Amino acid sequence: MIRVSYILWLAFFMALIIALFQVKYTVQQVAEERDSTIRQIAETKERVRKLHLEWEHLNQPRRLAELSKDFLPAFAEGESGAIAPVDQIPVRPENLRPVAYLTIEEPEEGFATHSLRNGDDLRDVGSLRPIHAPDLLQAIIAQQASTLSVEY
Amino acid sequence: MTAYTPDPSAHVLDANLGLSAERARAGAHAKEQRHPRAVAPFRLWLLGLVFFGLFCVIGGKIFHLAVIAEARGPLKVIEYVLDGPADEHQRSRIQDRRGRILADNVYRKAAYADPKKIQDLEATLQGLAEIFPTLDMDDLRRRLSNKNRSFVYIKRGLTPKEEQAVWNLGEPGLEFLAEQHRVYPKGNLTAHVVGFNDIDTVGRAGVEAYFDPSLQQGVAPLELSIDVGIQHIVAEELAATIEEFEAPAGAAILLDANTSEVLSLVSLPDYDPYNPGAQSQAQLRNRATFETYELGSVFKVFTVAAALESGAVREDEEIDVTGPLQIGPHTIKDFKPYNGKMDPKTILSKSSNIGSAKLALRVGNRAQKRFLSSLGLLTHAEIEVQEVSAPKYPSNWRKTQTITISYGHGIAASPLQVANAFAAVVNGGIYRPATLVKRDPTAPLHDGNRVISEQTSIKVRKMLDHVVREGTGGNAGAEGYRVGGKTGTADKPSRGAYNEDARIATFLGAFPIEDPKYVLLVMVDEPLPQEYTYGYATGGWVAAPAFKRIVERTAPILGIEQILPAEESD
Repeated sequence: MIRVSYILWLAFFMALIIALFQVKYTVQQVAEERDSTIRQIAETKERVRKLHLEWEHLNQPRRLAELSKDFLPAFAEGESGAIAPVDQIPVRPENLRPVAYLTIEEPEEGFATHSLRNGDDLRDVGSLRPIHAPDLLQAIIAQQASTLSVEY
Repeated sequence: MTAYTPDPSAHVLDANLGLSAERARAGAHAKEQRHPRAVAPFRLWLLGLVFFGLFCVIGGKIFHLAVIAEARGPLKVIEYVLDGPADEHQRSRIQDRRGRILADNVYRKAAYADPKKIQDLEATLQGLAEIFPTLDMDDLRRRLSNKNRSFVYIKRGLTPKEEQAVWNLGEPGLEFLAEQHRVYPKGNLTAHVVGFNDIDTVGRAGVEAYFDPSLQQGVAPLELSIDVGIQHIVAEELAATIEEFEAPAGAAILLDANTSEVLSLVSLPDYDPYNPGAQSQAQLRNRATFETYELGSVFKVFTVAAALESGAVREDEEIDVTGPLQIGPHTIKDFKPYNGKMDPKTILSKSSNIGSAKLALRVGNRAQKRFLSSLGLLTHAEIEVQEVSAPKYPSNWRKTQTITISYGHGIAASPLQVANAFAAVVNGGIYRPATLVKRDPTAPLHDGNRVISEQTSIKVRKMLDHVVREGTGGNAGAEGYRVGGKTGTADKPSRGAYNEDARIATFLGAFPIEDPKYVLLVMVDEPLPQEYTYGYATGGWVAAPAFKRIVERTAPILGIEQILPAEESD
């Protein structure tokens, strides 16, 4: 009887030792993973921080003003009349004629070759439908996939 | 524990010695007590049970930590890293009112050497000279030859390329250290507000110095009231005016009239915050908060406000402004002599020194001093930068001083203090100290101190409107906006007298004047008259046009509605 209990105890302690050994190395492994994750997070945070600063550098008002002058001539000067509260903008009359007609054709190949410019002759159109400004905007955004033509 | 083992020979021996009877008695007694063999297993089992219990507790705790606690959420240490306290060692970020970064930290490497570990000094020096051509090699050779030292800085703030090049030298005596480096993405634009740090990341100027202890703790970002977009416009227009009038310096401040938050604070010339040591004193001097100036006629606004508030004059009362006015040895004259009478509105719009002097005399020197004190013009400004100074005013405040101070001579205050005082006069009469820290828009507004009544404030606003419509401030009339303000032109004091060739030209105004939201001060130091200004370099010719342009460009951004021409003619 005594011998059986000894064997059982021995087995129990062996199992315990193996389990402790297993736990110890698992904990070490998890700790290493944790340290590595912390390092990665710190590195990523530092990278994000640097990117934020780079963004702020690129958005220096003087630089933006110069870019705006070169590429957005209409907005280069902050004319006081150009900005108004929404309620000051006059309501669009009901019976107003559409300012433009839009036809969207399937692209033949690749990108559309025609883009809208001020003063373009826009009378060569196929099928017509009236459009409003948001549609025009959508169409301009989508012109990579469609040919755009507009008529007054 | 010794087990009991009966010795068979003992019994025989005992019998031989005649002791058997005695021992038999003793044995019988022991049997009555309990045999030790019966006691030992019980104790063993008890001990085993205790240990088993302890193992169960420890095992249970491990199971709880490993399975149950982890299942509830990520490990605390990860939360710690992700949610910010990991940055505790970093100096806090400074940002503008819209969250744009004005100052932040990045880590940059510093190369250092341990002279004891350097194997080939000559090769190392040669390699370093190629990477850093500006390095003083003789000095470095001397420092690296000293084997008693174990730390010698080679260069701080390395670029990644430089770091790689130093690595590539393969010298075991060269090592790297990660150091914090302060970055100012808006550069000169916000230099006078933000200030700068020294190489050890300790604040030395601006809010960096003022808030240094709390910034060092690395808690939440410091949110300033400055708006970088507005700051750019104000700086650009002020710089254009300074150039146009060949002036050496200038300052401009845009304040929220009600909360006294500073949206823009510009002092020109400004400086490069990365290299403050290489800048001139003129660049480092903050003209908006540190320098004090006699700003001249803009003080007439305070004189008129004090006179109306104290009841010394009625709004429609006419005062004789025929000059000159003789006070002891002093003669008071107007820029353009007027003869006859003027009401307070015209005194302001024509900027009459004599009219202003007479109003001040009615108010009295004590009341005048008390009033200016309530506007914060006689004490240190409470703004959150290191560069503030005390206003200068006469210790002996008598009749003559009352008169000169009434039109802004004999008292010198910083432009920020004057703008702050003006905000109190036009905002309905409440003085709140100017601040560079963004206030929580949801929090109730600080009560402040009432300095004049609402009615007096309205009267003064109407007069300031008149100054721009009919008076000396005509050039400040911004298109589409109702502005009101006052011009100021003051000769600069020089060697105990006033120098008529060196002036301070100022325009101080508010918009929209019927219900002021913002106060703007533009000051130009020593502008030169131009041909197209008919030889004038006054506040009306120099500062007022800059004021106009700034209002026209900033008002749409600040959400001030434009007045359509039909409305304006009402």
